[in-house]
Amino acid sequence: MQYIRAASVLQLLLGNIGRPGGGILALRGHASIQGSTDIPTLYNLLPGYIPMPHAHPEEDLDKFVAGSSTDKGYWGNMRSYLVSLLKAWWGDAATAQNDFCFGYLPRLTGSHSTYETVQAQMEGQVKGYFVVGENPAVGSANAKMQRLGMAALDWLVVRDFSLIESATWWKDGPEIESGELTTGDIGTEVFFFPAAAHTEKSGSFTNTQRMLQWHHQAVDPPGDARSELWFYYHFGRIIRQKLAGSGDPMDRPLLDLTWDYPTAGPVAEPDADAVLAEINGRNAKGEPLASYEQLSDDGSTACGCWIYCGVYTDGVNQAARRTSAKEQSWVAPEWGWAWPANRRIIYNRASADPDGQPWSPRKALVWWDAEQEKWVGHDIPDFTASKPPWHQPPDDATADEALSGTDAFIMQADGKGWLYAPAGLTDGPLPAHYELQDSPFPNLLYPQQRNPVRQVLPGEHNRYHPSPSEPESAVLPYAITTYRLTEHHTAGGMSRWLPYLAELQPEMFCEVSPALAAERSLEHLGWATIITARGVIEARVLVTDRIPPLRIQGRTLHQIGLPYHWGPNGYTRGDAANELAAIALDPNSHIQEVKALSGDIRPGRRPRGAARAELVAEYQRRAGITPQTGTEVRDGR
Amino acid sequence: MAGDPRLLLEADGDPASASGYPEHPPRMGFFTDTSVCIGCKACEVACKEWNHVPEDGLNLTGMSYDNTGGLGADTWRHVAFIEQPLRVGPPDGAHDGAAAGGAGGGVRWLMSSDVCKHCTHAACLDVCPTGALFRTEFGTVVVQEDICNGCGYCVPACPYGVIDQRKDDGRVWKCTCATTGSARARSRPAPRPARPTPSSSARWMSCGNGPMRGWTSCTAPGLPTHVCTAGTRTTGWAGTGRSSCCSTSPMYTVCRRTRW
Repeated sequence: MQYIRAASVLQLLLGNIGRPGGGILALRGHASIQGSTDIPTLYNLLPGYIPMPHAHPEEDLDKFVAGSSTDKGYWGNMRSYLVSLLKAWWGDAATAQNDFCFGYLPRLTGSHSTYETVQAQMEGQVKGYFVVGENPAVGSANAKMQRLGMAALDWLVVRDFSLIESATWWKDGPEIESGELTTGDIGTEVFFFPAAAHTEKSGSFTNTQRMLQWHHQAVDPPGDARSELWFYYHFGRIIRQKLAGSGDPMDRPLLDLTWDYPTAGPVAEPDADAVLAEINGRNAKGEPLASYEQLSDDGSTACGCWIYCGVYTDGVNQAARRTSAKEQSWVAPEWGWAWPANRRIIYNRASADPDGQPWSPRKALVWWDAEQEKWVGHDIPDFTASKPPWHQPPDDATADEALSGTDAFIMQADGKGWLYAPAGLTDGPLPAHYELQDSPFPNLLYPQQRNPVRQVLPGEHNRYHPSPSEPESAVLPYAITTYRLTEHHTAGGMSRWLPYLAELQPEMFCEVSPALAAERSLEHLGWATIITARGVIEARVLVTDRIPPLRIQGRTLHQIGLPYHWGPNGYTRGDAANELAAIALDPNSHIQEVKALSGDIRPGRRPRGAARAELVAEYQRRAGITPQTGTEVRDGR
Repeated sequence: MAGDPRLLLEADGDPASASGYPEHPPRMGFFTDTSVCIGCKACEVACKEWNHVPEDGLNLTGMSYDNTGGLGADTWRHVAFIEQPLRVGPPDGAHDGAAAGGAGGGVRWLMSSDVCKHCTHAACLDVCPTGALFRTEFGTVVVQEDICNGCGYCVPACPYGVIDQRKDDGRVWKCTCATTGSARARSRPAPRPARPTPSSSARWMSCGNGPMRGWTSCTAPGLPTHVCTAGTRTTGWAGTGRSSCCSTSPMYTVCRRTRW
């Protein structure tokens, strides 16, 4: 989070926001991960980045909007976005009299991130778990805790192409091999549903540039494999059937849902186009909307995600457009559709100077046309089209009308780009440098070693390493860094089972420098055992100059490079790097710290059976690790 | 004709005419620019998918990220990975980490996608006793799998190690340029291998134009010039003094840029 903030501040200072070739584009890990934050799989967001309400007993729609919207900028219209969302979900049941069913929304009772969910599973508070297109037993930090969490459930549903590790840990996982778990004693009922691949279903991808691109089903999925849309639609349909006639108020949110998508074909596949049309929204006459500016807070419009409003303009799937580059401008507005309003570069008002003329003719994108009295350009202006550059709003204006003609950052509460962020972050308003949870070095910039508001989840299976000031930190002297290979996809479910990809990267390996190989007697293509306070894995050794030792604070630090794709199932198999990683989280995004940790390496294969856990326990003893180690809030020099 | 050593010294740089194609269309070629190749191996996977070439084993080679090893019966595309020690050390005051690397202070990672060159003077074709190897109307050199009797003469004949026997089958297999019998090839768009390259490191273009200007001559790295099968002169790449590799067929040229 500190890096993202620092990069954003730097881009703002350089004037690189809103201009062609500038901006911040995250390197995201999967296809459509942007889509899964826009229409979120996150616990704390509703579609279009509207916050999920907390479980405040007296909070109604008005109070929630008052607390979440802004006086100025487009978030001043949050009530319209939220009421339209509630109308999309609960249709005629949502009326002004019942607060548009605002009370039907789920409520937060705390942080429910994936890692806190695992902890809650182990504590017996979470009974059921859906694992969809994800393989936490390999791909999430502290893979052992992921499996132990699943072993404490009543039921587990896994949907994937292959029998991934998260579906089979109960019969052949590392804890079965070591004797820590016994299949007969595990109470979790595990359901595996084969999933359709993207070529076997229709839908959209939204990637990091916010562009939706439609993909059409090419072939039927094999056997019992089904799309996610099919699974959730029919799952909801069956639950609603079972609840039909129930007088329990608890069941009203499910029974009142608009859950009526048309289906077609032998497996009754729901129409993905109809879902996109619902997301786009419609007016009181049922006609498709063209822009979020049409959304109303009186219940006359319905829209499943306000930032996607316009993707079904004129009843046409705009995301499915594929006009050739030769038949349109260099901005290519007719290839797919980008939110918001098909604007390809957000905050593009900033590509023009305060007078509305391009800062640079070479980077001209949008500008004020004095003759036409509106903003024009290559891209669609991310600004009220008729608002002149010299516009000064009246004092009593609100929302977007309160923005001046130079307030390019239309989603911000003051219309300005923020170097200093007084709100919205759990940690400080300016980026800072903190050392890693497991860093072998003291923080040279501040006395504060680690981020004081980082999330740590200490537990028997999630021990942290000693601070660099403690002599025992020398027991785990090396830096481990984890990364991906081009040939494999995340936790391997989409690549380790494919022979053409498996043969290109056929085995789990670790990469070390010739100097570290000499120091620890590691042989090229031999085996190495890598150890942290969380786990122990083995890997084949690649000795390479590409992983050089670092010279930091006057001493040499050796690095160990580890790809994280492998697990014990599939056509190519190996130990998972995430056995080594601790759960230590960024306080804003709740994302794990797996890019850098400390550990030890020794030649040869790892111990088998019970001896595997004993080796970890031995390292914990030697490093003097206690439940408190590394959990200090203030642990400066 | 290809056995005539004089053809190897053609002065006019037009191997197609020398091979009996005086009225040939503009020569087209694959231009593989190693300076932009990112080593994604999508070309290897696309080749196997397109041609149904079998997977040939899980074998960690230890040669950087190259677990393919080389061209063969079951590998018609090969991306080589070279970890080249930097000749020049980092400037004074550079990041300490780089200086602490190998003896020379860091490495440069080079990737190069290799493939059959469909030579103008194709030794594999010349030695084939059955006529299984032949030149198509598109200029490519192709094995007819229903005629090959597995004699294997072509295997040592190829100076690039392209053609190879499939062990459980006995016949030889090699790159078809993915154009055999394809209507697509007749209209002369890019053959399959030029397509799935995210960095545009492999491109399909006219010889003698753009980046391929001056590339119609060949010194295959490590290959003595008298063995060069391309039937072309031997010169350096225009203006650089570095060598380039180019083997030519009447219509296709496969260039591999070896300029560091």
